[in-house]
Amino acid sequence: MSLRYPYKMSYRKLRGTFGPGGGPLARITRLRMVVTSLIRHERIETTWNKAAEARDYAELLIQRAIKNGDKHGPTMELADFWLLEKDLIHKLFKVFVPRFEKCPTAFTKMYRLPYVYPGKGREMGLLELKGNPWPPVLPEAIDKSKHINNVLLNAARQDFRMEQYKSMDMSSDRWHKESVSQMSAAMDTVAKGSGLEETVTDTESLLSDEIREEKEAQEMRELQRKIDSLKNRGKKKHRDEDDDDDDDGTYV
Amino acid sequence: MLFNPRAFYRSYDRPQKGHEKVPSWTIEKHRDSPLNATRVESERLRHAAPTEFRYIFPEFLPHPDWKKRDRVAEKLQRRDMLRRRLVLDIPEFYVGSILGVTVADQHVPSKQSRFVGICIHRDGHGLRANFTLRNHIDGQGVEIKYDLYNPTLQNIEVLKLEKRLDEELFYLRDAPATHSTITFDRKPETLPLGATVPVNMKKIPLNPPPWTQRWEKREDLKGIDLPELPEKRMRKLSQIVKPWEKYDLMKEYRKNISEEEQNEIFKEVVQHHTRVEKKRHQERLKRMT
Repeated sequence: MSLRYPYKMSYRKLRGTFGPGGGPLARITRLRMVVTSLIRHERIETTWNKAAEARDYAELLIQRAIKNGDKHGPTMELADFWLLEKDLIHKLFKVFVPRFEKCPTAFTKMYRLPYVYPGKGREMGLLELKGNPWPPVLPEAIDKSKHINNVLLNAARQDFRMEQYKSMDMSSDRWHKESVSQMSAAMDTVAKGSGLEETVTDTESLLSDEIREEKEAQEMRELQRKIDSLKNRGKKKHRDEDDDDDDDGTYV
Repeated sequence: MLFNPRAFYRSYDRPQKGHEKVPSWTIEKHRDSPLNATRVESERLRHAAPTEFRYIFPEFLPHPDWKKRDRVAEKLQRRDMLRRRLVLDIPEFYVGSILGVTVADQHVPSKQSRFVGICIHRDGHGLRANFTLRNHIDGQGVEIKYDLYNPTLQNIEVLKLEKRLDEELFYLRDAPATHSTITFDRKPETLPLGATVPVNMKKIPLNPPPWTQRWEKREDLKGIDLPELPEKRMRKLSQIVKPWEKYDLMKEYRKNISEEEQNEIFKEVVQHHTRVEKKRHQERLKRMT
């Protein structure tokens, strides 16, 4: 049992919950309410601190339920404490346990909500359980590589790079001479388009459009790689930083 | 030739080239030394399942606070701890067990001093692991804190292996002396093979107050038989009581090392044990032939 995402090493006191002087009892009551509503609605919007704090408890509760099952006394007591609406105890064991049994990553996901004036004066967050029935929070990425403007731009980029490469003065370099001849041949086939203009004995012409396009894209990429490697000889490479993503399967 | 301290100490610290291995006659000498003679192979440790290791070797687990963690230091400490355990048999014991400890003491004619007592506390991580023994001698309560991996510790003998209802028995300081008195010539009691460690359900009656701590406020201590206290003193208890703490999952999570990490740590202990057992089995066979 371990949390599968970065979590704070000190707990949030959530001061001022239910007015001044609430103390730890007010904090735990508020967290119970957030966890209950998360289990009920599977996606909730609240202040960032409450959501982040309740996320830990919800994850551990589901992990306990998966590990021990619904016949285990202390786990039932725990579920009874955390879920204020008692019909959700059944939902926890009968819906979420089978859903998250085999899940190797976190069961929840959090998003930061935009600040909408006048707002609540606090940062808002969205907390959702994975596999919920609602439409996705983030819009699906649109592939714009086939849009005419990008196609034209890519082609122009290729031409520019080819010009650059050909004009590079490395006449003593054996590799350069071989690559130039190879690449110019490749560029010619790409410029011609498909192999339809040549004799039909060429098997490439019998390929469908999609496969041909993929091949062309591959050749383009290899070209680019060769150019970059020759350009960057002697230069130090900078390692790209990977994006932080909960779904990577990495966890603390 | 005159004594050359530089050459002497240089060779002492770093063996000469080609002589890096420890010569076998030193190992034999060590094996035959009286320090090893009283070593008893703990049967329970051999047959214990890895899941029980966190109770048998609690000092192998690191501090749960991430600010106090140093993974490299922890790994090195664990290695040293296992090496020490090859030399000295550190047995399995719990708070509430009765132990007899022999320590090397230069000021005593026999160069050894022995103390017997009931273990009231176990603390520390890694090589800093310690335990406190309490006894009542000649009308005076005595507590001695020992470091488990102290090299001057010559022998740790468990005279009675048992657990109590609590993880710390500091309330014995405010209890009658009879509950802390253990005779020095107590004979060791062994448990049958495969038996679980018994839990002594004794409830200790306390002396009348004043006490060293306000034991009535400690709702986590189950082994105390509280006497009648004035109403004014009991009135504040209802405000202090926190019944939600046992359901606070994150508090428990932050206080302990996660199971996955525990398994990683105890894998090393298991490997060490299997290696040691193999070696000892080979040695036994050699001695028989």
